[in-house]
Amino acid sequence: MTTSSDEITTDLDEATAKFVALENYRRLATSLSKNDGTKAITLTFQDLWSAAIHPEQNIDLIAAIQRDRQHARRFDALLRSMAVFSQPAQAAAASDNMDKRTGEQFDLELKPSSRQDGAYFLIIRMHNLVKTIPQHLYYCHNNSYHFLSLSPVHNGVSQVMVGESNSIIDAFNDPAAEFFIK
Amino acid sequence: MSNVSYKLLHKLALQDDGPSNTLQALLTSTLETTTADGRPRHSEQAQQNLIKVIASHSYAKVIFPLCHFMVVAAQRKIPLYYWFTMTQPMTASSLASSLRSASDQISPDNHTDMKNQLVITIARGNYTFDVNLSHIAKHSALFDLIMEIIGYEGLEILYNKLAYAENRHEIASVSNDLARGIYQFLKDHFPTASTEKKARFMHDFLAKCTGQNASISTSDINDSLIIDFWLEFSLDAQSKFRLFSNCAHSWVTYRQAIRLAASNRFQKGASLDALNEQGVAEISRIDQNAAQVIFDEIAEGPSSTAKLRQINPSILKTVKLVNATEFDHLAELIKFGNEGHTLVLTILRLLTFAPVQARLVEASRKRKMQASAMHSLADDDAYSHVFDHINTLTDTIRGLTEAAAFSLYLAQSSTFIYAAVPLANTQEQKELTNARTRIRASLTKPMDEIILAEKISAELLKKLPQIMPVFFAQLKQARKKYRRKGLGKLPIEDSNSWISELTTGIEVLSEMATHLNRLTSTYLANENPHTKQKTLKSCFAEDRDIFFKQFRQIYGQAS
Repeated sequence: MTTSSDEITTDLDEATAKFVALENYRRLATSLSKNDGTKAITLTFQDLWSAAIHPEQNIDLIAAIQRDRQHARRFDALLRSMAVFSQPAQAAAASDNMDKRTGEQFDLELKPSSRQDGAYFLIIRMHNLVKTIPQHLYYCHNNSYHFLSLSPVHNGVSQVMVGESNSIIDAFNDPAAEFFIK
Repeated sequence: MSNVSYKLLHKLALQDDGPSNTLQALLTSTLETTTADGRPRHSEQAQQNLIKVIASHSYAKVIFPLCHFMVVAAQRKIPLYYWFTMTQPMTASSLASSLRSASDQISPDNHTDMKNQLVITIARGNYTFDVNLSHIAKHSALFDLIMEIIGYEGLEILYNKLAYAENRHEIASVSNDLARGIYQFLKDHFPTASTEKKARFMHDFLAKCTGQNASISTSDINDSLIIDFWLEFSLDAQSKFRLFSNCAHSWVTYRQAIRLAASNRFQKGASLDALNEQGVAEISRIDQNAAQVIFDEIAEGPSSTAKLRQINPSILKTVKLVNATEFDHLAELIKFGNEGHTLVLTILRLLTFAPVQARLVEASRKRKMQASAMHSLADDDAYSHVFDHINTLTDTIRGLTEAAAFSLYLAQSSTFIYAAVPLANTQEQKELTNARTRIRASLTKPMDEIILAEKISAELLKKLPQIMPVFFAQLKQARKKYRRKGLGKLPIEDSNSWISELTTGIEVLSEMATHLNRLTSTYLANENPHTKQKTLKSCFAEDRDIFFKQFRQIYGQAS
């Protein structure tokens, strides 16, 4: 009943491979065209980036990232590579209550407010200048990251006031904590 | 054509396992990523390439040049995250400008030469290679997906390793690591075993039918091969060919695959073997020149199905052309694409017996017997009815095309001239060309080409009833006969969308009418009472016995 006017010949194996590719292509294209965005929520690099760039606006996102070991690992790698300055863990012999943490790239100093109102001043002294304006001091303590927005830097020094319950106090006193500036 | 539940047929056809939810989510987010100002991060081509590369498992070949790009970037000390957070879309020029600005900041490199804006030549010892940024941009979406799959931490390790890569072997080693990672991920999230199994069945069946011949022709896949194959494989409950519709569509795809293989649109080796030993050897074999051309298109331009979607009644906003039932019927016929006219009997079988099978499947799922499913096909003229239905549908499509064209005329839209005029007969088209020439000749002073074209269009539209009286009357008649929402009068608002939807509609409907016409005319050309060609009636009688016998074997005697 039917005729062929456009005869085309090719290698059987090659045609079979193309068949698989075409079928796969259609399966993918069909499933993507039907995806209404309600099926799965996967954290992507763009989420990690948003969290790293605007931590104060993404507190819940950061918590979600850090709950998942794989995402936490990726976030850690990203934050480390974004760091302009780093201060690694201190020597284990450091005392329980340090008032200063020194590093090759910057020093941190923690001073209680003279008004004895429970506030502390965290002074960040950078040893080198950078082209970009540092935005955040962040630290890795007990396998999770926390962020502090930096005040404007003058002569390599920035100062931030924190409350006595701020987690940075514990991190500051923990030699294992690592600090970064970006 | 019987009273078909196309939604049921479609639902049954979608039984194959697709990508996992995770892969779907990753692909969607990769394809939808925008830059800060809302522009798509990846070009349309890069988005298409991502799907093609995954579908053909040919990512290894793309990863190799991507690794060379990473060598250049890492050696310039550009942080990895930079490439995924660019403020500009990932075009060749934005990549070039990023690399250039990085070069300005670091000391000059004697081993790098930016041959032109978009090709960078790198020399590492005895190894010299070119990085074509256009090629990288074309696969930017894959770059993003690689990062999502491998993870920032994993990719950064490899990126830093590439910064110190000294020779081809070291780059190839990183490339293979990445390809292996993608392969492992896709193995879990986009299993292709069932498609490969299907392909193997078809391959072996073809080899058997063609006498173990290593080559295959489109004509080998004909109506009789398809039915023979279905009869053999539909009894296997695990087979993906239990449904005749799945079987028929798979063979249509196979015919398309033959064309694709013959046109060599895929690079050799772009197959599932990409990551086996042969595949790994293949990766090492690739040189830069070969890697620049992966494959251009997996399908031949926008398919008819994609075109048909443009007139989906649920998508059109200002006008309704075909209704939902006509749309579904068209979709079913258009699925055969350019293969349809050579597989007319398969189409008749599909449209007649697939709905019966769909009802049998549904009944067996609900654990109730549907004895009436096959009784509804008592009419010996079932195939003729299908033909009648296709003819009626063709007339409707043609009428709607003309009614839409008349709407454009009423709006005095210049798009009428190029969208609707091809519907007229040759003689009247000639008249129009002559009228155009006369108008052009009557102009006394030079004029801007765009203004000139608009002026000529306006004149032609004004005089259309005189220049093309037959065509004009035809359009007017169609408008009276085919009344659909939005046809016939100018909308009060959003007339630009209305004109655009009508113009697209005319083009798509014309193409559909041509498709349908080709189907029926092929049959009519072959139906000669003086030859031994079987009549539709005898074909149907024979097929009914074949299908019903098979249905009874598959679904039990009670069916």
